[in-house]
This record gives sequence, structure tokens and C-alpha cells, in this order.
Amino acid sequence: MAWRDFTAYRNLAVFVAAILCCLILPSAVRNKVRSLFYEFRAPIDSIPSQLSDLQKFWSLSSNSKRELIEAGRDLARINAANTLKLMENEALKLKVGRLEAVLQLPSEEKFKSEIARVVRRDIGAWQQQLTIRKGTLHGIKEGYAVIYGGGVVGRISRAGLYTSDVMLVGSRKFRMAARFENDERAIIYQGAGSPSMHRPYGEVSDVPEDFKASASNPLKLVTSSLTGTFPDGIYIGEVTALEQEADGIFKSGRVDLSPGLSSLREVSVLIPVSELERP
Amino acid sequence: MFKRFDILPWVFICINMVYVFMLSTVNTELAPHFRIFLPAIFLIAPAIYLGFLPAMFVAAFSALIIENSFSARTGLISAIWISAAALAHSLRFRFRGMDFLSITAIMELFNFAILFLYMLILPNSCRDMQSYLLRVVADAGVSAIVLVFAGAFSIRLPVSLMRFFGRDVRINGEGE
Repeated sequence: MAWRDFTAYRNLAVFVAAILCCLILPSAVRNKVRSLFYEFRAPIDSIPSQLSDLQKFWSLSSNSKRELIEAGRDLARINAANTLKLMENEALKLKVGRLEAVLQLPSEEKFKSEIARVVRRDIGAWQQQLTIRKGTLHGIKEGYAVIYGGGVVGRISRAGLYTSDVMLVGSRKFRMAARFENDERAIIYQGAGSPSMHRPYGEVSDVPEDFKASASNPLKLVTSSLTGTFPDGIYIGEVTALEQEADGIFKSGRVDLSPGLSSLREVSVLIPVSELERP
Repeated sequence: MFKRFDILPWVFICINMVYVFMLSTVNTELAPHFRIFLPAIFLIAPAIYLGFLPAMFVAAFSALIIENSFSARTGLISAIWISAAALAHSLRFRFRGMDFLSITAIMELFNFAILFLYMLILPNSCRDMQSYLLRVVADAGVSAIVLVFAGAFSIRLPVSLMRFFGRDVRINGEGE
């Protein structure tokens, strides 16, 4: 009986200690434990993506010789065209470099892109984020911009060794300076969360009164150079309606984000060149 | 004097890691429309088959793995998981019947209770309270439907697995 009492008291003490640890441990210790478990979880998240790569490899390797020859021929044609474009690009880059040197202008090339596979999408009421298969080992740090072919994806919110979390452009916590295409005036963009069965969307505010938008004549929202982390002119979404704000001076409206955001497989992280040059 | 090494907590941790992998894959495909939350499948089976301390250990470990996807109030989430495991451990003999309906009902109750607490403590990441509630209700509804199929399975899986390896697993304290 005494042994049972002792076990009951011991269990109670362990339970209370565990709860207190969860609630009052210093945030430094909690962050350390979190980052340890984040790295521990990283391979679990990466497995589906790695398996998908393997599946793709095996499905490609089962192609017949004839198909491979045809694909090789098509690729050779594309490569030839791309080689010409690359040469042209290099010549233009050299020309820009020479002009920058002569005119003593700051370099135009501000970002280097790092392509990364999406391994997990975590979109709910409490967070809207992606996990990508590259981390600090590939030069990725918190706050870096993430884009894809269709425009802005988001910003790196946490960078682990091998994986990183991306806060999506539709997330309520995502806020940035933006502008409408062909206009230089800065406005404020903020994500609006992710409702079920609907496309993600955002909101613009502080829009000058002279802008008008409609479903037939939508306004294209792009990134502004004021953001710093994003290059200027990257597509964010379309504004189809603007309403007067309560102050009567500015307008606000809903931004329809690209539907491609829901099915991303690969994204590009923009690493500032200044960070790469740092020793 | 010395206790034998018990493999059972590690089996539960391995099973929970497989659940993490499966849920992560399914949620990735379902996003952005729904998100499945099934804390009950991680907590209930260890809580009923393991002793109090190993059950707490498995619950804390699973919470630390899962909570990584949340960016805020992770300590509170761990505390909720540990408390839920302790509660399930104290109610473990309710699962003795092992019939589908009672297992599913209790698991649904735990799952809803945990999601309700999440709703109260986690920061709202939606546009307004109405869309927040709609999103939580939609996710909780889909999770509840999935739990109808996965709940009883998650309780029976460790027993079947250990029986395959020649060990009979019973509710902790049963027959003492």
C-alpha cells in the first residue's frame, strides 16, 4: 500500500514538474529544445519529397530508347538556343559591369537565387507556411525573400540546417511595401489568412484615391524596392476592387493571390549578394 | 533491483513518427483547403498501454516533434499534450471493452478538447474572428471524420504489432 502511495505521489510530482517545465522554462532553453527537435524532424518531412524524386527517376529510367533519343534531340535543340541566349546574357552583363565601373554606380545584381524543393505545406487557422528542403548550409537565413515563376511566395521565417520554413504571402503575419504596376507610389500589403476551400488572398491599404480597380480592369500589385528583401517589380496578385477607407483619404482592397501558390513544388530563395561577399 | 529494458515506449515513439510522416504528407496534399489535426492518435494508445512515466515521456516527445510546426506558444501546447496524456492514462480502463464505438467516442472527445484549447490559446492567423472560427470548425470536422477511421486502428495497431513479435500488450495495470 505504501509503495502504491509513493508511486502516486511520484507520478504527481513528475507531472507537475513537466507542466512547470513547459510553462516557465526560460525561452532560451525552450528555443534550444525546439531547434533540436526541428532538426530531428527535418528528415521525416523530407522523405516524401525524396521519394517523389526517386519515383520520377525510376519512371524516367523505364522510358524506351526511342523516347530517350527523341527527348535528347529536343533537348539538344533547346540547349543550342539557350547557349546563344547565355552568350548574349554574358555579353550584356559585361557591358553593364563596364558601364557601372565607368559611372561608379552600385551593382545592379543584388540577389542570387537558390532553388529549393517544397517538402511540406502547413496551412491552417494558426499558420500558413511551407517547408523547403534547403537551410543554413545552403546560405539561407531568416528574412530572405522566396519567389517562384508566378510571383512572390513569402519570406523565410525559420532556417534550420537542412530545411527552412517559409511564411506564405497569404499569411496574416506577412506585411510588406508594394506598388501597382506602372506607378511608383508605395502602398501596404498584408496577407489575410487562408479560408477553407478558397484561394488565399491578401489586402492592400493606404492606396491613393486616384486608383480605380474592377473585375474587368484589375490592377496588378508588384513588390516595391522599399521592401529591401525583394527585388522591385515581382508580381504579388491582382486587385479587382477598391473601397474608401474610414479616413476618407486612402482606399483599401482585396488582393487575389496566384492560384499556383497552393500547388508549389519548387521555389527560389533570393540570397542577397552582399551576404555572399561577406567573409 | 534493476528494471528490465522495456521496448514498448520506443515502439510507440516509432509509431508516432510514422504518424507524423503520414499526416505531414496528407496535409501537404490537402493544403490549403483543410488541415488534419489528430493529437488523439499520438496520445491515447501510449497513455493506455504504458505506465504513467513512459506515457508522459512519449507524450512530451511527440508534442515536441509536432509542435515544431507551430510558431508560437509551444510550451503551452506541450503542457496540453502532457495533461491530455495524464487524463487518458487515468481513464485507461474505459478502453477495456475495445469496441469501435467507445474507443472512437473517447478519442473524438479528446481530439475536440485539444483543438478547442488550441483555438483559445494559439494566435489567430485569419482575417477576422468569423473566418477564424470557420477555418477551425472546418479543420476540426475533417479531423473528426478521419479519426472515425483512424481512431480504433491507432489503438489496435501497437497490440497487433507487438503480438506479431511475440509480446502480449495489455492495458497498463490490468490484472494486477
